[in-house]
Amino acid sequence: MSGNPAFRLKPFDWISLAAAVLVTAASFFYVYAGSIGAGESVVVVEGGGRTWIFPADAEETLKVPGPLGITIVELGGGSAHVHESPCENQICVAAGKISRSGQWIACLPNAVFVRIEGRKDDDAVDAATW
Amino acid sequence: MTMPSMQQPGKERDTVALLGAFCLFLSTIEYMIPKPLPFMRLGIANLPLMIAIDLLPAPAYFLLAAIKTVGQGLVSGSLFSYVFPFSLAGTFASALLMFGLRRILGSARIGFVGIGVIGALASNLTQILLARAFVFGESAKYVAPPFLAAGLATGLALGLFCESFVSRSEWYARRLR
Repeated sequence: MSGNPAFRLKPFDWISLAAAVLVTAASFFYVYAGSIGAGESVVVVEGGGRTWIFPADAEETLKVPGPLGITIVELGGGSAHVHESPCENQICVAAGKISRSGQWIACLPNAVFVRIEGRKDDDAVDAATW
Repeated sequence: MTMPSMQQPGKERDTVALLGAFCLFLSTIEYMIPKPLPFMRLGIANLPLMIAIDLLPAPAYFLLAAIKTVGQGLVSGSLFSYVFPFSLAGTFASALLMFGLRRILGSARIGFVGIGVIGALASNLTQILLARAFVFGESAKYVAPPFLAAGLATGLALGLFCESFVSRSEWYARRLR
């Protein structure tokens, strides 16, 4: 079959698109709006029913327990990464290093979540030093 | 040579089998693409579910959705892990919404772009809510923005592909009769 008629979006295509764009934009606002200007950035590690919070420049090797075993999270040089995980697919290890606010690494099988919160003032002038 | 469009079990079975196999093939392709979370998928394995929407009655359609989920679990090795319920819930939430909307609104009012975008949204929201309830708690919200943005893009792309496919495919035209 050739010569298909010109493609046009239908009314509920537009409504669906608008709804999806709105929900997506709202999620960005909900997650990121609060973190702007939140001061020093910190690394938050959650797992095994516990939460660890470190300054972004901490040097630390953390053993986080989960349903499958121990996930090893390493902090150092201003970044965080999952060094070792007992999970099957190793997606958390493959995720590599995170260093900017809003970035995260999640391991669903071992229920471990690592994220960076707050602002990093790398490119901002600190008025307080004047 | 017109044939009655409903009640053709043989044709329906063929369609489920063919599209089910297509789901497995696309799951394999999907599995090869790296992703930041195990349940975050491009959603290309949903393509057969979108194509099937006007071809199958509800029971056969949801059977195809089940084949897709189990096939995806087999391919990714997550069938017996607790990642599987996430996949199952996401697929059925999106299948239910896509199928329901198309049947209620009709093809004149909603096309594959709307179906694709809403399907991706339903699947992602369901999985984020499950992750929030059972695994990550409050932190699950951080997953939402990239998930939803990716779903919007892939849902739109799949929808456009489907529109183009159904308007050109002779196979589709024959199945639709």
